[in-house]
This record gives sequence, C-alpha cells and structure tokens, in this order.
Amino acid sequence: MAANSRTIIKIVLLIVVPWVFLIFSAPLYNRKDPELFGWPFLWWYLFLWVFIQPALTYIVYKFIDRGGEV
Amino acid sequence: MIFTQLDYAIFFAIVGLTVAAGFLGSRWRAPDFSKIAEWTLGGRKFGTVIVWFLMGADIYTAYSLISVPGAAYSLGGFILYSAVYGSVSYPFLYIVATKFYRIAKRHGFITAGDYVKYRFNSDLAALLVSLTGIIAMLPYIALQIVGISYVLNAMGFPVLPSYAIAYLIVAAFVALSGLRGPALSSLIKDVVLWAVILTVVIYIGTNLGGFGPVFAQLGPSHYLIPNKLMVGYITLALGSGISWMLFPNLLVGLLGSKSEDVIKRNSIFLPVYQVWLIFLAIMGLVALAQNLVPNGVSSLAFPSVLETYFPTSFVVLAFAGIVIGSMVPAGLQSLSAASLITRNIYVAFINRNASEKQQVFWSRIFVFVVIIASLIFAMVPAASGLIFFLLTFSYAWLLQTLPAVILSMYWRSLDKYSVILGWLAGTVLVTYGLFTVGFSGSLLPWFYNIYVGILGLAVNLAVLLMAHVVVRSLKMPIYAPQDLE
Repeated sequence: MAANSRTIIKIVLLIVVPWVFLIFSAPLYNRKDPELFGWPFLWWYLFLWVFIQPALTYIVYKFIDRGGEV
Repeated sequence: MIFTQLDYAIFFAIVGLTVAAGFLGSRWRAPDFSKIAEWTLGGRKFGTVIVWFLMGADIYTAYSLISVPGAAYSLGGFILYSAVYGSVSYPFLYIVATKFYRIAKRHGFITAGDYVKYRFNSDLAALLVSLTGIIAMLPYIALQIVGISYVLNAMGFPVLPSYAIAYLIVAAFVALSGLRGPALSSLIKDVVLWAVILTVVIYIGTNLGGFGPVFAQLGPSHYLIPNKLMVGYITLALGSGISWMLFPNLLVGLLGSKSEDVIKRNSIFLPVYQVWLIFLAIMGLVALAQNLVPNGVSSLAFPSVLETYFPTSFVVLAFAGIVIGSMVPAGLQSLSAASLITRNIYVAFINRNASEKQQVFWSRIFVFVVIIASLIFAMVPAASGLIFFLLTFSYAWLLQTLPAVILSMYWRSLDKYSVILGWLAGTVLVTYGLFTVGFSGSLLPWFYNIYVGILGLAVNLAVLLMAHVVVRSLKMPIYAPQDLE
C-alpha cells in the first residue's frame, strides 16, 4: 500500500468516521427506539461507540501502522 | 449522615497514601532535577501503563464524578456530549499528538509555547499561547477545588481551611517531585475510583433490575437531547474533542511519554475510561428518578446515590476517591501552568540565560503561585454555580490557540501575523460571548445556542485567512523552520 493511501485510510477511520457517526449525525441518533435492555437508542448507541472507536484505532495501529514497527 | 471514627480513618488513610505517593515520586526512577525535562516531564520516560494512569487521572476527575451526574440530573441527555468527545479526541490525538511529540522531542520542547516560539520565531505568539494556557488552567484548577466542597461539608470539615491545607500539600509534592509526583499518586487515585464506580454501577444496576426502569420512569423528554440544544450539543462535542492537546496539563502527559508508540497505544486504551462517564450520567438519572437529591442541588446527585444505597464505610471510600480525584489533577494542572510561566514568560522575557537548574527552581515556586491564584479564583461566587460550565470556558479560550499549535504543524506557510490576529479576534469574541450570557453558560442563546468556542474559532480562522492573503500579497517574509518533523 502506498504511503499516501495509508494516510487517507488513517484520516478516514480516525477523524472522518467519529465526526460523522458521533457528532454530525446527532439529530439522527437522538431517539428512543429501538430500545435495548430498556436503554433508549441514544444511550446504547453512544455506549457501543465507546468500544467501536478504540477498535478502529486498534485496526489502524495494527494493520495500517503495523503496530510499533517503524 | 453520621460517620464513625473508623470511617474517618479510612478516609484519611486513602488521602494520606495518595499524598505520600506524591512525595515519594521525588525518588522514583532516578531523577536528576538539575534538568528541566526531568522535573516537568518526568524525564520523558513513562511507558504505556503509567501514561494511561496519569492521563486517566488528569481527564477523569472530581469533575466527572460530580458534574456529569449533576448535569444529567438537571439537563438530561445533553450531558452525553462529554461521553462523545473522548471518542473524537483520542483518534484525533493519534494523528496529531504523535506528530507534535516527534517535533517536541527532537527539539527538547517542554511546553506548547516552546513550539510556537520555534515555529514562528515570535516571542509574542508564544506568549499569547502560553497566557491562554495559564488562564485556562485557573478555572480548571478552581473547578477541582470546588468539586470537593460538598464532600468536606458532608464530612463536617471546615471547607475553606480544608481547601487551603489540601492544595498546599498538593503544591508541595508537585514542587518536590515534578511530574513523577502526580504520576505515582495517580495509580492510587485511579484504582480507588475504578473500584468505587464499578461497585456502584453493579450494585445499583442489580438492585434496580437494570437501568431500563430508570429510563422508562423518566421518559424521553428527560433522557434525550432537547432539539433546541442540538446545535449546542454538536458544537460543544466538536470543540471539546479537537482541543484536548491544547490543554497544557494533557500535553505534559503526552510529552512525558517514552515514545510515540506510547501515545498511539493510549489512544486505543484511554477510551475505556469513557465507560465511567455514561454510567455516571445514568447515576444522575437514578438520583432524579428516585427523587434522592435534597432541594434539587444538581451537584449532589452522585453523593445522594451513594448515601442512599451504601453503608458509611463505603461512602467515605468514594468520598476519598473524589478528594484525591481532585487533588491529583490539580497537581498536574498547576505543574503545567507553572512550566508555562517559567519557560515562556520567565525565560523568554526576564532571564534569557536561566540555567536549567534555575528553571526547575522557578517552576517549583510558580506551582505555589498557581495553586494560590486558583484558591482565590475558587472563592469567586460564580465558580460555585453549575461547575460543569466552568470547564467549557477553558475549552473555548484554548480552542483559539488551535491554529498556532496544531494547524501550523501541517500548514508550512502559515505566518505569525495571521495567527496572532486570528487569536485576537477569536479570544475577543469568546470573551464577549461569555459576557453576553453573564458567564453563566457557554452556549449562546442569541445564535442557535451555538458553543461560544466554536463560534470564536470560526471567526479566528476567517480573520486568519484574510490576514494570510494580505501577508502574501504584500510579499512579507514568512518564517518557517525547515526541519518541522
């Protein structure tokens, strides 16, 4: 993979994705249904992202940056 | 509630242990305090685990424990912005902070001001960035101080003398140990708080049969984000998310890392702390649903939950956690403000030839100055209001240094005139905006409830771009160091 396309993937996963899914889509996820274990959508959606985002960062770290290798 | 002698013993044991760790930091990992980076940054030797604890202690503080449940109690779903912006910040830091770290390490920078001075060859630009950092630290430290007042109250301590004693002790161990002090004491602080929060969540969750009934009882109007605050929610989350590296106290933790890899790994593992925020917000909802808070004082939401469901010996454990969750970050924040004063005011303007030993000496003095200034700030009545807003003021001012610190790493031809003018416009606008709402909040009702920091940044960038066009068309010389990597 060229260095350039790697940078693009990094920027998409680490900046574009969280901005789109966590910030700008707020009016879309600010809702009650569907509920999960009684939690409104807004709350469990954001709770889930607490784990999804680090997973994406891990993917970048491990596979794009090849974890610690220089 | 009534506390026994044993309860007080538990409380003082935990606080005492944390303070002792702070002092012991001075002997940890062979310090050589004739070097400024040894004192301020712990010698840039901290690995992933220590940085995780250190930054966790720095970010998730008494503020999270008191104001997140408090804001959930009074504002409902809006507070989720605080859980969102971490997930925006950490990945952003992965890219931006590692680059900053490389530049800082290569050139031996200790503060953001050092970098700005080098990047623009301008003492003025460095001074403005540093002053913003120092000023932003004061309400932040004051917030830590105010955050523990109800604990002191509830335990029957006289509040003002207790503040003074607690924070002068903090200043003492920071002065002695530098970054090693808060780093070591953060281990205890975080272990206590993780234990407390997990216990509370699991116990209350099982006791109430999950949190579903809590949501059902309150209804969507309370737990969703009100439509009229949507612009505020989005801009506050975005503004807070992109400004973390601009906080001097967080930069200290980042620059104290042993390598870039430590920062990358922490951007993967630090988000675990975000779990706290969501559960703490739910605790605020529990307090509301069960009607636990006396007189509707929102800051008492979490303490009320503790007092209702737990025996006193556990309550004091949690109280001790809140107190050390305020002292440890206050230590880091005062250290970072003190190093800005030393490096970017004292060395830049008063004694250009200060040796590293003198810098360490002055940093130690300035730690006390900063703590005392914050104590005075904490006495200001405005600071004791809805403390959750206090922090958003700091964010708003710090955001105005984004072009100087972050943008300038990527935009090579960015010049100092544009940055300074942009900063000026942004800072004036933020201050005016806060003034129009009487410093009682940071969302502007006269502009769709937008977050004042983002509006300031927009104006800042607009002025910066215009100034840059003028600088270019006048063919003014643009300073850009060649080895910016």
